[in-house]
Formats: sequence, C-alpha cells, structure tokens
Amino acid sequence: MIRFFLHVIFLCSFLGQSLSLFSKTENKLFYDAVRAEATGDLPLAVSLYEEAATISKSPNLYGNLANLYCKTEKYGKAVINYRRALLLDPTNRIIKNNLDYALKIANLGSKNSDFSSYLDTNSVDFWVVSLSVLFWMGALLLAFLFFLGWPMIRLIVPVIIWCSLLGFMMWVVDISSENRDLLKRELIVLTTDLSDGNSIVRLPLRRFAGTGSSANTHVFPGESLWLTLTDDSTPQTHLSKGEKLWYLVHNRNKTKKGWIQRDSFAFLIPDEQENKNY
Amino acid sequence: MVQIESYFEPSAITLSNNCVYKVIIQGSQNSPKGAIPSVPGLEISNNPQTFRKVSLINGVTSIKLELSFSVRPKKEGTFNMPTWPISIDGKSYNVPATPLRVLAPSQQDIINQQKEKQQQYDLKQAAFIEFSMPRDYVYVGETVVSEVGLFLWDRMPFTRIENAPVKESEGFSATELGQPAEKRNVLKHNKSYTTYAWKIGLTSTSVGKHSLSYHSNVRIRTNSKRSSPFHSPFFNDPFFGFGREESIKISSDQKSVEVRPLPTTGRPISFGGAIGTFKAKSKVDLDHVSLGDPVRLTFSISGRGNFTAMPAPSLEADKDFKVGPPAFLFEGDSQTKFEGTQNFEYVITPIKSGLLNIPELNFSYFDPNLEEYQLLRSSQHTIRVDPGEKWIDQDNSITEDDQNHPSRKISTNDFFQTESEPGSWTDSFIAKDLRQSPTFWAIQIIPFSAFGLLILIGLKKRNRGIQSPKQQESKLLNELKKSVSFNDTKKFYRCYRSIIQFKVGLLDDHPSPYTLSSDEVIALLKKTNRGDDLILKVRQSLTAFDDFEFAGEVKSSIDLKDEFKKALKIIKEIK
Repeated sequence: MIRFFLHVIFLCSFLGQSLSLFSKTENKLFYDAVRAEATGDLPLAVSLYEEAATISKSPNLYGNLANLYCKTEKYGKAVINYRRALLLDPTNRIIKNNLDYALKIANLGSKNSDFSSYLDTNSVDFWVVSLSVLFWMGALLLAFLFFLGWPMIRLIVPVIIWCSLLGFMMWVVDISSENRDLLKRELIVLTTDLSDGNSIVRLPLRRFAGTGSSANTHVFPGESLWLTLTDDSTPQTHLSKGEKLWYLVHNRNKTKKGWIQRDSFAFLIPDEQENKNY
Repeated sequence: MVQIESYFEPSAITLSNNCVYKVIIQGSQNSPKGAIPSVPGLEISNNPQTFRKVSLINGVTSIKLELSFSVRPKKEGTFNMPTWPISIDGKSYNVPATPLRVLAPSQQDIINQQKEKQQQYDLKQAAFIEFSMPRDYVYVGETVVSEVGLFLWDRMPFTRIENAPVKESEGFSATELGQPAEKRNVLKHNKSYTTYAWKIGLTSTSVGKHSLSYHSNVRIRTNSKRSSPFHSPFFNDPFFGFGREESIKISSDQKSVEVRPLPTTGRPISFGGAIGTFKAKSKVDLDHVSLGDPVRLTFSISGRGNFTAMPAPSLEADKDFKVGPPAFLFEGDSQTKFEGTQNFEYVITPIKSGLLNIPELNFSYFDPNLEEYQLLRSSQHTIRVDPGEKWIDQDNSITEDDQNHPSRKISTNDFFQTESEPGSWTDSFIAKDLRQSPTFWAIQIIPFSAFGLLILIGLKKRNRGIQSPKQQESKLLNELKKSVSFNDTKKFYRCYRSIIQFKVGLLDDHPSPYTLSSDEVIALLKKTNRGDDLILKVRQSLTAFDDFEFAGEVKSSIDLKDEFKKALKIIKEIK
C-alpha cells in the first residue's frame, strides 16, 4: 500500500512539474514577441504582447508594447500602455521618459505625465496605516494617562492636538482614496475613424450621445478623460439606436466634457469594468 | 440410547443430477462433532442443513436430528460412503456406510444441460466487454494503450449505455475516456453487434501482479412483470417499446498483468521517468543573431511512451547563454498521450558575441522492449552572435548635470528600447485596498483591546478612590490653593498640615501619615537626616498650626498669599 502511494506521489510530482511549466506561457509569448520585434515583424510582436497581457502583467511587457505602438504612430495606445507600465513600476525612469516623449509627439505636452504624487493611488495604504498608527498611539497614550489618574482637564490639550492630526490624516486618506477611484474610472482616448494616418486628428466630445450631434469640444488621442458618474455612482451611459454605447466623460479639471463612443477609448485599468460602481 | 443411520436420497441418480446424503441421529438433539470423509468422484458440501424434530408417539417422546449434505457426482459408477466416526455428547459413535449409484446421464439430462449451457452462452454473448493489452507485463510508470470494446448484440433491445467502461484495478491509472468509436454490424460468434471502442492510456503505478478488468452498465428493455396490467403478448413485447427498463452490469474477463520494477543497474543520472521507445531531434530557429537576441532551441522527442510523465531535460545556463524555462508542446494523440511528439522549446539568449556552441541536452529513457536504458542527445548547434549595439543604461547614464544641460539631453535615439526580459509578472495594476483586507481589521483588535483594558482598569481604579501619592499631593495642593483664594485660614492650616504629614509620612513609607503628631513628624525628619533649617521651618509651621487649632490664636495681620508661597517652598524641600 505504501509503495502504491509512493508511486502515485511520484506520478503526481511529474504532472505537477509539467503543469507548472505549462503555466509559463506568458514568458514564452513575451520572448516570441521580442524575437518577432527583433526580426522586424511588428504586427506579430504587437499581437503576441497583447496576448501575453491577457494572461499576466509586467512593466516591461507594457513598456515594449507601448514602444511598438509609438513606432507605429498609434499614440493613444502608446500612452495607455506606458501609463499601465508606470502603474506597475512607478519609478521606472525609462518608461517615464518614453511617456514624456510620446505625449509630446501626440501634442499633449509632457505636463500630462505628472501622474504621481504623495497622494496618488499607491500611497493609499501607506496613509491608511499611518492613520491607524496615529489613532491607536494617541488613544493608547490617553488611555494610559487616564489609567494613571491624570485629571481630565490636563488631557484637553493633547486631545486637541491628537484630533487635529487625525483630521489631517483622514483628509489625506480621503484625497488619496479619491485619486484611486479616479484612476479606476480613467480612460485614454485611443483613436478615431477620422484619422487619415498622416496627421493627428482630434476626437470630438459630443453634446449628445450620437454621431450626428455637434462637438462640445475636441480631445487628442492619448488624452486622459474620466467617466462622469450618476448619483448612484454608476457611469453615465447611453445606448444609441445602432446599439452603440456612449459614455459621458470629462477631463481632469472638468473644462472639457461630452459624450464619447465606447470604441474610441480604453480604460486605463482594463480589469475595472465600466458597469462597476465607484 | 443414540441410534445413527445414513443413506443417500435417492440412492441412484444420473450424472447430471444431484442428491442428498442424510445422517439421522435419534436420541439426541445436540450438534454432533465429526468430519465427513471425502469420496473420490463425489463433491460433498461441508455445510449440512440441520433439521431437529421432537415427536410424541404412543406416549413415548422421540428426538431426531437430521443432517443433509448435498452431493454432486463427477463421474459414473458405484460409490460407497464409508463408516466415519462422530462424537455426540462426548461419546463416540460410527455413522454406518451407505452406497450411491451414479448412472450415465439420460437423454433428457443431456438436452437440459445443453439448453442451460446455451442460455448462459447466449446471455454472455448478448453483451460483453473485450479489451486488449500489448503485453502481459509492464514496467512501473510505463504507459500502454488498451482498447476497450463494448459489444452489444443487435437483436437485444438495449436502450442506452449508462456509463463508459470503468477500470477495476488499483495498480493502474487511466486517462479519461473520450467519445467512443462506434461500429455497426460487426460479426462475431455468428452474431451481428454494434461495438463501441475506447482507447485508454494505462499507466502502471505499483509493482506486483494486478488483475485488470472493466465493467459497464447498459439499460435494456425487458418484459413487464406478470402483475403488470399490460401483461399481454402485445404489451409485453419490448421491441414495441413496451415492457420495462432494467440496468444490467457487463463485465469483461479478468486479465492478470505483472507490473515489474525498473532495473536499477545502468540507470543514467539524467533519467527522469520516461519509459517507451523514442527518437530525438533538435533544431534552432536562427544560427546568426545579434547579442541579446533570443534564440529558440526546440528539442523534440517522438515515439510511443509515457508522455504525460515526461519531464523536460534540463538545460543549464552557462557563461555564454542565459536560458529561459522550457515550454511544452505535445503533438499527437491528446487522448492517451501515448503516441506523438513532445516538443520542449527553450528560449536561450546569448550573453557574449562570437561563435558559440549551444549546450547539449541529454534525455534518457527506459525502453521496455529492449529492457534497458537508452540515452538521446541533442545535435551540436553552433550560432554566430554579432556584438550588436551597446546597451546604455539610462539610469546610470543620465546624471543631474546631464538633465540640466540643454545640449546633453537624452537623445530620441535612446527612446523606445526593447526590454528583452519580461521582469516580474503580476495580476493587477493596483494593489487591493488595505481597508478591504480582513487581516487589517483583525489587527486593529490588538490596540483596541489594550485601549479598552486601560480604560476599564482606570475607571475601576477611579471608582474605588485609589489615588497615587502624586495625585493625593496634587489634590491637597489644590485644596490649599482654594483656601488661599477664599482667604480661609482654618482650612489653609489644615491642608498645609496634612501636606506636611503626607510628605513626611512618604519619606518613611508610613502606613497612615495623617495620624502623625507634630513630634512624630519632626522625629521622622531627623531620622531621615533632613537639614536643621528645614526641620526648624517645619517645627515653626506645626507650632503655628497647633496654636491655631487648639488655642485659637490667629495673627490678625496674617497674609495667606505670603504664607502660601512660604508653604510651597517648604513642601518642595521635603523630598
């Protein structure tokens, strides 16, 4: 019986090894894409990178993919992939430089690349932990003083300082959380059918959800926009007669707003579906 | 009185019939002990049927025990059951001998026998399972393909196959059964069958002799029961869709398969468990690359064997190459994974230029036909690696000075450089919010518990009135301060005295400092070696208290504020 189990374990280990190696598909696709790129077959390289991106995510994958889109003058897709690469590796200077350059040639200016700050999405957890530590340190200190029998009147000043600090930290957490939510509903304008391939054509943000409607304003491919939410925190959408889905969007400071068709943009974080609540 | 008799019933039978050998014991009902002798040519059962009988005949009680052994003759002739000993109630008796005549089978017997055999034969031929094994022995870990065929006689009203054949053996693991290959009008045993054939990859898992068989269940329409209201020749005919369905189990014959262990002698180090008959070939997709360009080395193993348990041969990185993990690609019979080609693709990246030899791959396996280990090697591949352009690491090359200097800004030629390694893989762009983590909230319980505990103990302490010396001193000082503000001389002196008593009592850990008299206070100060000056001041103060308390002497021009300042000084000095 023991031998039987030993043999079963022996076979299982082989199968396990085989399965774990099968799971390296994203690596294989990446290397194949690098090779295709090296041989000059850029469309194949793009498709291989895109396929690898559906399996897993890595900054170098999105960086390489963005480079290819940049080389093929698809700046919207280049920008979104650089942004994705920076989400995965925010300190990568090479990707930052590439993004700056891509934004410049996409007529967007490099100021758009300033996406990181102390209150960005990556800092939420840091601020939450800091708030938690501050709250409990203060609470425990006050409880200890109370335990020692300090008169309440003497605790007023430390409590005021503590509450002020807590208020500040809560504001910081709120701001960084808001930035995270903004990131989840950020979208990048990709391209437009109006593009003739020789020049960059701006995409209209329409007054009403329909191709016949006049433009409220125009945006460039690669520009960041954000979904406008309804009162119940769902994206404001409209399904036109031709089963085309439209979204109401605006730019960061809300100076530009209008309706955009679903196939004209991509979400910065593709996993976040447009129907989710924010 | 015990009487024993024995006889065969009937005493003469034909060869195809059975009879009963009876032993009748009169006078005892207790079970006898003994062993029935064996008679050549007769098959006698060892478990007799026992029958006990007590009767009253003409006022006399009769007790009888009857043992019946079933007997089957094996050949014709006259047989004699000899006398054999038996023990009843501790006493020994002899069972008398008795003869049995076995005659040649009659014509009717022969007909009945033939009919019975035919029925069994027909039943077995109506539905059966056959399977094949390439050899009657296999090696442990070896994969063989077995074809399992289910034969259903066309003339039987089978309605459906309930389940595909199931293996009955612990010594083998089997691949999943796919869709069977169906064949109609297959002639066998002079009958027409519909056959369903499955190919199964069997892998032996443990050494030893194992019996292997398959069984399946099929549903068949049969006659209705006699009690059925539809019991009529028409409604009873299953071919017209009447009758009822029954499930019958069909089993194959058992085959004994020996699973042998793999020989330990001559086993190569690189052997990883592959068993079969294989050929190998290898190729590289490029033989001329630039430094850093990946090259794909494909090592293909084709043949027949246990592809499911075949590990990739290891290709170690060396000073010339960086090696990525191999990718597996099987081409062939995906159902059994027994026959085909297993491709192992290695992405190798040259890390120096020149003419480089790709490291050799070794693959060893055990050949069950030759019964020895074999070693396969990849071909020698040489590739030419050009130096290519030198990689400039931007992080190192760009200094602050470079950034500020307009003429030394990053050249656009340096943009869009391809990374040849994927880096670390991850599942999502943004980490999960910490506030959604149950662990984060669970950790909050720790400080919350400490907080709660401190507050609870603090409250209890306050409710009990337990105060620290510092608190007590602070309270007394507050009282002193109040008395000054209210210009209450009496209270001032009492508080002042209490503070001195309290502080002096603390110096000696006195259990009840407020009961100390003025002399005791002075004595304690002396005991603890306080300065004469302090003792004098305290003595004066205490005298003033006593005068006020007991003699009611109050200086009319007393300034409490001034006294309070002095008091504070003295109190401070008493440490």
